Amino acid sequence: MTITTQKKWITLLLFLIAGSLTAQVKLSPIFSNNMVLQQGMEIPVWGWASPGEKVTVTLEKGKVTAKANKDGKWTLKLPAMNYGGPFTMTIKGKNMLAIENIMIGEVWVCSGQSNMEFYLINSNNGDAEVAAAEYPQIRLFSVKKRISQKPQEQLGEGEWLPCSPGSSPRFSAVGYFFGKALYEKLKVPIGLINTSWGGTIAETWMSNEMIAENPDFAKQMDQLKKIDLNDYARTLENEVKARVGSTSTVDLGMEGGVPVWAAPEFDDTSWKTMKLPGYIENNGLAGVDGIIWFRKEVEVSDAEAGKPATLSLAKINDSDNTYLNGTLIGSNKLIAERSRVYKVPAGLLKSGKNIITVQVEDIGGMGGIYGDSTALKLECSDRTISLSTYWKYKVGVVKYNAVLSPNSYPTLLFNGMINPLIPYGIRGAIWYQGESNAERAKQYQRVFPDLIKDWRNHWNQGEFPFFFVQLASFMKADSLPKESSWAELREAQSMTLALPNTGMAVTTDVGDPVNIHPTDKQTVGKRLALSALKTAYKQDVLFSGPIYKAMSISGNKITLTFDQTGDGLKIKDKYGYVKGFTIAGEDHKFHWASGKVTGKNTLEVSSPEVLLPVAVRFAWANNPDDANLYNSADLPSSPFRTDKWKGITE
Amino acid sequence: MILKTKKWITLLLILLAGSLTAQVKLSPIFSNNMVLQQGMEIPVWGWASPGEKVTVTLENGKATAKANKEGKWTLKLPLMNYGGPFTMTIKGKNLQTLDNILIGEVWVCSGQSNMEFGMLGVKNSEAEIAAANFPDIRLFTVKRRISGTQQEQLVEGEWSKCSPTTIPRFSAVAYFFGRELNQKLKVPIGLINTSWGGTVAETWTSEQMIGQNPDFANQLAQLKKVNLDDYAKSIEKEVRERVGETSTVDLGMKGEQPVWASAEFNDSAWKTMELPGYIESNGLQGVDGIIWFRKEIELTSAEASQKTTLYLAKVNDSDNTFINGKLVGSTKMQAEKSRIYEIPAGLLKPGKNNLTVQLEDVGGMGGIYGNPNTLNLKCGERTISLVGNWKYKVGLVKFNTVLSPNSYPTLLYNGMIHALVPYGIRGAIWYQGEGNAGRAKQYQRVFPDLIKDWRNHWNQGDFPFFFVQLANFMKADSLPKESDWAELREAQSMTLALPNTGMAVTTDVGEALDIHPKDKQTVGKRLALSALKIAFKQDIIYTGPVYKSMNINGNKATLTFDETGDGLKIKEKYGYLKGFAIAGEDHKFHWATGNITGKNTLELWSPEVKNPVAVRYGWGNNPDDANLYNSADLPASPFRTDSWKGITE
Repeated sequence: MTITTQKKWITLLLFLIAGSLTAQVKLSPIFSNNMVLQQGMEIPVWGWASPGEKVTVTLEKGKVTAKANKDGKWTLKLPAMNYGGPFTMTIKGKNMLAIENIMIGEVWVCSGQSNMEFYLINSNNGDAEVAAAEYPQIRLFSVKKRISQKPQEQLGEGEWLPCSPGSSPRFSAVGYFFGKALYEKLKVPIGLINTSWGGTIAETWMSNEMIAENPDFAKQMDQLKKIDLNDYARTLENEVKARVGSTSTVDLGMEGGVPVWAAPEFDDTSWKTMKLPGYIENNGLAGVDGIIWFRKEVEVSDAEAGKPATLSLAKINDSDNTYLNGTLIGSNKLIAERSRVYKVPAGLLKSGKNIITVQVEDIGGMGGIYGDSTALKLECSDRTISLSTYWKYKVGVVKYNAVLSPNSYPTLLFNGMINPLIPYGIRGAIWYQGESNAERAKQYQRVFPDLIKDWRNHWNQGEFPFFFVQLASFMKADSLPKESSWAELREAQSMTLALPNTGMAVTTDVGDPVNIHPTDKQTVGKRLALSALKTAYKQDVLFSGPIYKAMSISGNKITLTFDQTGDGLKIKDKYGYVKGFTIAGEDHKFHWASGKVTGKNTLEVSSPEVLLPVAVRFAWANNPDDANLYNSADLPSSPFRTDKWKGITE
Repeated sequence: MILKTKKWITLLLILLAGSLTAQVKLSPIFSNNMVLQQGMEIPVWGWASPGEKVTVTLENGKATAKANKEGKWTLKLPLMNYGGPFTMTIKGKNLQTLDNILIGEVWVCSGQSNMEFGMLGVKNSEAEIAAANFPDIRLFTVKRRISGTQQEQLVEGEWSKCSPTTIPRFSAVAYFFGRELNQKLKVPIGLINTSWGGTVAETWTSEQMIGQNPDFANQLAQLKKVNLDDYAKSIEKEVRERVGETSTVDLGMKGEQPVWASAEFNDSAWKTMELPGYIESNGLQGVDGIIWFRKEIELTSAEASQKTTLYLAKVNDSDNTFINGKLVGSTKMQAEKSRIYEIPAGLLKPGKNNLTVQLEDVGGMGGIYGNPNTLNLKCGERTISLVGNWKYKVGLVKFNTVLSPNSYPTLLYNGMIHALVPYGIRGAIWYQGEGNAGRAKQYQRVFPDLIKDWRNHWNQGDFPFFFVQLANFMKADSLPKESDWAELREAQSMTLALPNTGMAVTTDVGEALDIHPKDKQTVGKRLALSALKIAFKQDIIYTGPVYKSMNINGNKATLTFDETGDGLKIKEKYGYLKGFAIAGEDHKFHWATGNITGKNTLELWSPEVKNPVAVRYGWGNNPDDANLYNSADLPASPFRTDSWKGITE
């Protein structure tokens, strides 16, 4: 069959389907054979029919009728039921549909990035786990990946499947182990709806209503409104042109190999201004990659003129050529993480006005002169001139990044993969995400709780349980105490426990230094299930590791007190040594601290390097793999810190 | 062309042989670029025509000797101080000269693979090799050679200057040792590397010494009877003489029928062997193949009706095990696996029962071996020991005709050490023991014997002998465990009782997955510390803390150490002391918590041990977390305060 004939057939098929849609009662694919409906609450059912068509849904003793509105959508609620099954549901309009093998039980949405998406077959003992995954009472639904500019009401496709060695290998391992643990404890049918996508950031899983309140994302949201994802390349180009002005595919700042925009006499009065350091994407150039020129005028005294100086440009993503008064003084290619420190040779600085010009190339993603504002300066012989201020800028070349990804804008996955599930009756949600937000951990302190509130607002079934996985340990363990974006992200996650009906699975003890996807998903699922048993099912279990409560300092020793210790704090180490603590004095310099458990809820830490400690941190690192504080239920303590000193993601 | 080449080689050999008898000749250990030991008379020897007068001159020294009737001559030049370059002349009927000779410090460097380990494999090898420009360090590598008799001549070899060209395949441990000495002493250094990977200590020991150790009597007796130049044939002959007529098909099988396993088979003509034990140590030295073992067991009718389990210790390599002619268990090629076989009900009967094991030894050691407590028959509550004499007969012999340095003791002493004696040396460094770890207890005698042996042969007194203790290797233990490597390290520590010895502890530079750790820099440096202290009398700390005594008070054990420098030191990011285990009278060790309580003392305890009686430190194959040092950053050697029976006894 040629491609052309194939296309014709597909077109014909689509017509036929579309025809049947308008003529017949239809349900979202989330309602299908083998589905699990949430027990103990009214059961929302919805679908489409002809406008005005009367639809009656029957399930066991429940029978409810609704009329399709003028868009053809109908919604109704069946009376609450207790767990059981299998049952058959009938949906009767002009035609009749029947859905078989329905169970009433506990339904959980499982969402996040790659560690939620991570397949069962790839987990520890994957082959054996899959072979043993014969649980007809557990039902699995995977939401197909879908980016959408607008909230979608219909899922593209999908079906519920009884959990078996055939259906489970590519299902979410965390979802599965969580569901299995609940099933074993509760002995009720479990429905798991996996809607996850690797590498995604939290804000793409949030609705426009919520994210619009956060100014951090205003520019991106603004751009999203102006473009059409179905015609992304073209509309993006139009949008950028409209915002940035006419754009060029050759660098306007260069003429015949000469950097004309770096010339001291060049007139930049018509250029726009940008406050540096900062990413260009956050400063009027959202969606722009290419070459951007920055210029800054600095006044130098007679005394400083002619002498050598040092120009520090913080960091530059990705490449730069840096000029002083038209002379190239430094250049770095594609090293976004490197500090730019350039020597200004003697004789170049002149008395009065001097011009610093930086030609920045951003080859993709975020770009610009960014980083620590104190590292943006000109150190002259006698004084330091801060350059952390407004610079002139102009775009020399724009390269359009016309590849659409879930992270291109906020809301894309909420629209495509969450909205169509609402208001399907659920007990709650589990969530494993944050790796991709780690560099913006401070921001996550708002983003993440907003996401939870957002979903709860949309589902409109109250503050349903929401349990999440704290980031596992990853990357090289530190030989000396160090700041860490991952530690700050974990802190943002811990802070989110302030929301009601939330729970967190600490997993700093099951990570892998060289794999961002640790394979021990069994422990992760089990720990999430503990939160569910306690918070959602009111069982009297220890569901959390020790929680830091208070600190008291006496001389060079700090005593820490914990909640959630069960029968007492426990150290997992062959010699019994407490590990993972650091302490600091007023100098904010942290040193490894030795410690010992001094009571059921208390431990004492100290370091010979710190005479007057003021702050303690525990497991504060990308990979705190030796942290070993547990409670009697063998649940690990979350990383924490007693200080509120400025982090590296602020 | 090949034929032609062969003819040429033959001709060349004849010419050389002719010249040998006609001309004065030295061992290749005397060559251009050599280093001669300072501060002692300098032995020089060689060959000439019988009766020929030979005069050797070096700077102001001159000595004359006459070749004996075998043509060998030996003389001693007067002692010299370090310096050079010098030229030596050797005058007989002809005249020979050796150029570019240095007088300095000469060390023999020997052992197994970790001494042989070349500079190409070390940490930062590229940079280390590029920087190896030390014209005052001279290198000599002894060619590998197995010999049944003590050889007086090295086959070939030459001294060369240490440079990026000559160093890549030279012993890294020797180089780093020599470099350190050269830098500290500012004198020329000569390094003679004579090592061979995988070798056992006894092959480096002479017959005069190893002949006194009964453990090796069988092997030495066989060595005398075989001809290494015609090994395959002579070993076959020797085994036949000892074992009787041998077969290449298993005599115990008639077709598929294991006739030697039948209950009624008459084994009265068979020999007996004490089990458990290796066949090689029990009359079947040098034999691989199939051996049949039979044992008669008397049972009461009560016992015969019980549920019964047979424990056959371990079997190297395979076995088929029969009770009253019926196969009850079979394990193939798993020398380390405990043999535990359930006996089906109804098979045992009151009175006499027969147990037969058809054992296959595919190479090396073989037999029913292991812990005697695991060789028995358990009938319900009763345990019938099967330790003691069994009947045995060889069903089939496979001759292991591949000769290796470990085939017999003495082979490498004969081929690679004897020819160096009595070249003037300051001393020797030694890195070996991995090949003996399975027999660590025996090494307590074998290793000091080797040192005494070399000193006897060299006849220059108790020359310094420094050795490397085994590095950490294999998986670290999660629970305290017995370890043959720990016992071998203990045997090495015990050898320090000999005068002028020193040991480089390396349990902190090993690698769990590589028996050849790449950090040879640290190894060489630590060996050099021993040399600076003991051979060159410098006032330095050369060893890590050495355990001295223990004092128990309640549940706490206080240990006192010597050699602590400015005090004991713990290397750990939190400051925790690790590597200690503690036990009570039950001999069960538990990891111990501890802290330093003084310059020379530390205190240990475990909540699991109320009344401790023994402490062990670094006692495992891989004690990689042991972290007790002294102020000179030298690690404490693993040790134990108990002398409880080990696993290699």
